Amino acid sequence: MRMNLKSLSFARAKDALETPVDIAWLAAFRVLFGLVMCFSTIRFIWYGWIERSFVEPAFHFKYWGFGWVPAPGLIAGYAIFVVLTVLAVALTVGAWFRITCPLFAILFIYVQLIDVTTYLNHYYLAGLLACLLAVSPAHKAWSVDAYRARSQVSFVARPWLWLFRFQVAIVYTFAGVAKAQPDWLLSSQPLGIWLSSLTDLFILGRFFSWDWAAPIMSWSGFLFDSTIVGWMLWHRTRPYAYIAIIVFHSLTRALFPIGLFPVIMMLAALVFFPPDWPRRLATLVYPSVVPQCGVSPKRRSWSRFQLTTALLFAIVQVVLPLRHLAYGGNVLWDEQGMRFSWRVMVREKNGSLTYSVKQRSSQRVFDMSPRKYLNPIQEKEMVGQPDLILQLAHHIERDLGRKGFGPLEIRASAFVSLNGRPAAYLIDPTVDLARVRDGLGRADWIHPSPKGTIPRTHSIPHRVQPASIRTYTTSDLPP
Amino acid sequence: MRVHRFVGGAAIVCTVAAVVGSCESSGPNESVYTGRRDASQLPGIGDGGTVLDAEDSDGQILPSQPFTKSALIQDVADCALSGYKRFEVAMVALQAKTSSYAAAPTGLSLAEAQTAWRVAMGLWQQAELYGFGPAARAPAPGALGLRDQIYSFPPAARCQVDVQLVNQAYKRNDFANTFVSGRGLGGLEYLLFNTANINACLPSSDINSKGTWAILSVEELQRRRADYAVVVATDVLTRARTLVGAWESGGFKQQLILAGGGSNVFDSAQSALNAISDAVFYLDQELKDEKLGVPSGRHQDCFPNMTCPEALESAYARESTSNIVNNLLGARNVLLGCGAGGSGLGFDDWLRGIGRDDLAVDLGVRLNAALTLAQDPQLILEDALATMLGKVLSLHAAIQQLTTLLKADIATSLNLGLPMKVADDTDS
Repeated sequence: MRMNLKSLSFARAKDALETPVDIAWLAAFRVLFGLVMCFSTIRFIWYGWIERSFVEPAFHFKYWGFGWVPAPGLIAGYAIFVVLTVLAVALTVGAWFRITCPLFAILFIYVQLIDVTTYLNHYYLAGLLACLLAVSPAHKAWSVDAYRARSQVSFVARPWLWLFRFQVAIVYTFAGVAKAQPDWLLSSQPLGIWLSSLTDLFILGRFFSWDWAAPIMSWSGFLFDSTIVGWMLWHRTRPYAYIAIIVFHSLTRALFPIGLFPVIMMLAALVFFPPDWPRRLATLVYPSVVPQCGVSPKRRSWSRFQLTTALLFAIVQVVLPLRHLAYGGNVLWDEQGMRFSWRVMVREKNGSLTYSVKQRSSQRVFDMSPRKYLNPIQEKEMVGQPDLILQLAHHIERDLGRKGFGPLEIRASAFVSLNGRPAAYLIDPTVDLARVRDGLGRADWIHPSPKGTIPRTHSIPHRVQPASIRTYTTSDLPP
Repeated sequence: MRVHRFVGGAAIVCTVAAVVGSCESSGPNESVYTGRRDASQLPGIGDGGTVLDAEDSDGQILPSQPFTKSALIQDVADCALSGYKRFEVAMVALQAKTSSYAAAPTGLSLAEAQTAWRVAMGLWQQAELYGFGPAARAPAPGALGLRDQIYSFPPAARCQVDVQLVNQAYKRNDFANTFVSGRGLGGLEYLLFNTANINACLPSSDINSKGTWAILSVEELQRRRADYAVVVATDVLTRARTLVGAWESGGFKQQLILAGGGSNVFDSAQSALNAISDAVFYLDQELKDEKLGVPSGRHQDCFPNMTCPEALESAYARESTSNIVNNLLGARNVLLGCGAGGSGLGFDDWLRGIGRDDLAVDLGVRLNAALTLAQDPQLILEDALATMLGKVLSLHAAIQQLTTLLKADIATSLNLGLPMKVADDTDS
């Protein structure tokens, strides 16, 4: 009996997977994604970010294992982004898709690999979505390719839909998981810090100056991220949930310099609607358009290879954001397992970093500022990221070694404040980083996260009592 | 540090009077700090060279105002403009004194020109901490790049001044467009304080290899230096007037004050305060690293030498220490308040406003600790590098403590982000 039920469930699942779905959602996704990517690459060129991000820095931080990735020069940088723009247009219209979309994905990922300090969660997401699109049949409908082939495909295997849904669900779910920690839920940080700087905003600013604004928004953000997938999957709540998505992402876009992340998420969340939503929408606008109905498509299933690959992809997507558990410690502090884990907007880190370089032969010690090799954005990003501090230490050793100053000992004095906590040493200042090997293992040269609670702060009230004049002495220092 | 709102008008009037030598107001005792006390005790230059507070000017204390970001911005704007106006007035005097010296080059006229330079330089060193808006380089908000035109340190290109002495480039109509390192207050220092008959160029440079320097007599060199100084002083005065003009009458000051409320430059009060705080980080790069770190041998650029006295900022005038004190006084004006002893609205009041009294106190302690070390009368950097390096390194460490606090705790608590000129997307 148990066996029968099991085989019945399996049969149902198999049946469901093999029932094709309308391809409209995938074609629409391709068009919208292509447009956003096109806008994104033009924006990158327009803002002069090519020079600043890839050309000006004297040193680029590399992902572990990708140290060989070269940075382009000025002309090559512009050429790459022009090509990316053209490819994004081709992707949008579905022209030579089997070539242009993989090329776009490869080139886009290459750009992300040039310098770790340019890492953004939404660039990572865009890269993943580009890869998924590249192997999908998204060009089989509403595309130049379909027009050229005189063959518009109407259906697509259902697993494609669920793969895209899975990818988007992963982002929201882990963004919610990342907020399930004391800084966010109990101290309302770093949101409290950010909101306190927005108190002069029109209308909303007054709300942000209230002390309970940050807790309300912290909890709202947590609940939104951790439950929105469920609301989007349930057909009864889906329309309201999507309105919530639009409101939520519009608000974050208005408040924070979050780039295209909100736009990407608003369009990505459309995959939770029934797959024929573009046709339904088109019918609303142009009633003459006949929706896809009454057609009995052939069963389309994935091959074993496709299923296995998708399964592996899914496992990686689940394991990657959880890998910080293997390291222990506070991932927001030591950053071990931080990237590729959808920890969106959960940390505010600032600090001061100075390298102390000791020439062994002379025992002379001198300071080196990271500024010598980095631009301000690189410096701000790397100060709170231990692996990047280590990378630059190694680069300094190589650079000075080439100049004949070696052998050297290099120590880092990195004083960092996380989410408003009193600043503390991020790196053990006694460790010679020149002797530390970069790797994926637990880094015992990173100081443990400070245990103290975050001092309570509030936004600027409308009236404060005047302070009296006083002269400070060392006895005034807090304990 | 807040007692009452900043009132700068009386100070400005008094400064004008001071330059013409008739102001008898004592004001707060601290003034533009120079190693030569005669210059520092020029009457009427208020505390930190910036303000006389309300109590000092008319004997009454204004009622305290509630802390708001806009009030802080208003005070910083008043403070900065007041500082620039004082500098402009000092430049009028310097231009006049250099002209007098050029017309009648005597020991006395030279000494007067040198004193005038010290006052102007002291005021400018405080104004370095107001390096936002028209003083800043593009693409900073409201930037006109005027700071570099007035004083381009670092670097100091003394050889360029010598070359231009020989070829008399300062007489050309396009001199104002030549490299800034051959002009500005740095060039003026070299022209007014370097009386030696040698130049700063390598033996292989044209003026040495072709003998064009060697043929100049001592008198000719002195005459040319005086003439060159007049041209530079006039140029700097013009820039100072441009700077004040850019702030006044509906200019940058108005845009700054209106931040987040109709300003064309700043879309929020926070962005204005980001720009202001960005200018305060002068303490880190220029002050800690360039002015102290390199000369003391603590910074990479000096290695492998033990010390690098040639990197001192004002070695010819022997005012390198005064420059540091004035930088710290300028920082105090912004961070603690522009009034006497750091009273008035400052970033410490903002910290109190958000409930971080501990950081406000720490800021005051660290700033005053650095100031105390810098004001040690024995600490004359031109000598101390050789005789008391430990004190120099202590001052360096004290300033590092201050900048660490600013870059870590305070930047986080006040959400002082990167300035607009380098703003970027983020999502982590």
